[in-house]
Amino acid sequence: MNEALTATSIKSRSQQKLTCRLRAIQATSRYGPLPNMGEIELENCSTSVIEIEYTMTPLQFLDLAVVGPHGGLVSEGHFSDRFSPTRDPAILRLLPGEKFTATVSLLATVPRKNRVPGTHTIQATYRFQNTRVVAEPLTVEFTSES
Amino acid sequence: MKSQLMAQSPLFNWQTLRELTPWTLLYEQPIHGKILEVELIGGPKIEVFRAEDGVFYFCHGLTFGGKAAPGGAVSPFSGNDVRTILRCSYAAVVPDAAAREGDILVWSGLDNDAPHSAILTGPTVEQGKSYLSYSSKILTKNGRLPEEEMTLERLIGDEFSYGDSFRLFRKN
Repeated sequence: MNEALTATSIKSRSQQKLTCRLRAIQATSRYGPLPNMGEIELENCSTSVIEIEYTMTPLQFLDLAVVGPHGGLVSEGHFSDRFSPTRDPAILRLLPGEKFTATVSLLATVPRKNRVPGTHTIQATYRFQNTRVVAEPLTVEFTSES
Repeated sequence: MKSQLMAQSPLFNWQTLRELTPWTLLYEQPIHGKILEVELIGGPKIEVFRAEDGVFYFCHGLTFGGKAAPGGAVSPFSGNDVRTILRCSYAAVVPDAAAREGDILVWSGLDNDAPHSAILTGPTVEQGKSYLSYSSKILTKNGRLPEEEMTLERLIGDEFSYGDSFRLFRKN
């Protein structure tokens, strides 16, 4: 799993403490290009430290709702369903201005039986403790079944 | 094939299995159960999870044989417990191309975590390559999703987000 922390300068933005962004990327593995990949980014836009306690991966609080080319929801289950838990919790600690990024499969929550070519809209939501952060929807054209 | 894999020499001394505390796995739909302690045949103790239904297990329960535990399936936790098992009972397979049926794949995550593991059921290697080919067959239990045999391509591709950060191990 490709996850990283990046420090950036503190920026004055909205009152929202955490910002979630989802974008499509060209990802590769040792086998070559990986199709349908994206990057999730969590940025601490506040002036205080944000601590996210997790027992699987920081991505366990992420969900990807996907609307298919015919306008219906084609995603099922929850993004965290694929992970296995640790015994002791760990903490993702984001300093002001710091970012956490991770590579994710944009169609991770779309079962193979629901996959068809066409335009898909992906809505990433990150929910932990009492915080729910929604990313701007990402529209992606998938050209073939995968 | 699957039953043969599960019949490998045991890792655990099941007679030492004892309950420690109630526990809940924090999936979107939580899974309630308990933590138990068990000794490895090699000596150290590790902690494992058993669901209330005695049936549920996650990837490490499949990979290390905990699904066949007496009294109900158990799963070693990612992180320290999996690392202890690997240290005591497994050796790395290098290069990947030397892998054979029954070897296991263990993925890497943040903080030396082991977020996923699976069993190699059908290794294939392309001529001249030092790593497993995409067509290699893997028996895997992805979190709370159903146990399934699939190709390595599918497992590290665009469905599960595990990536290719795995290493191969063989039981001592």
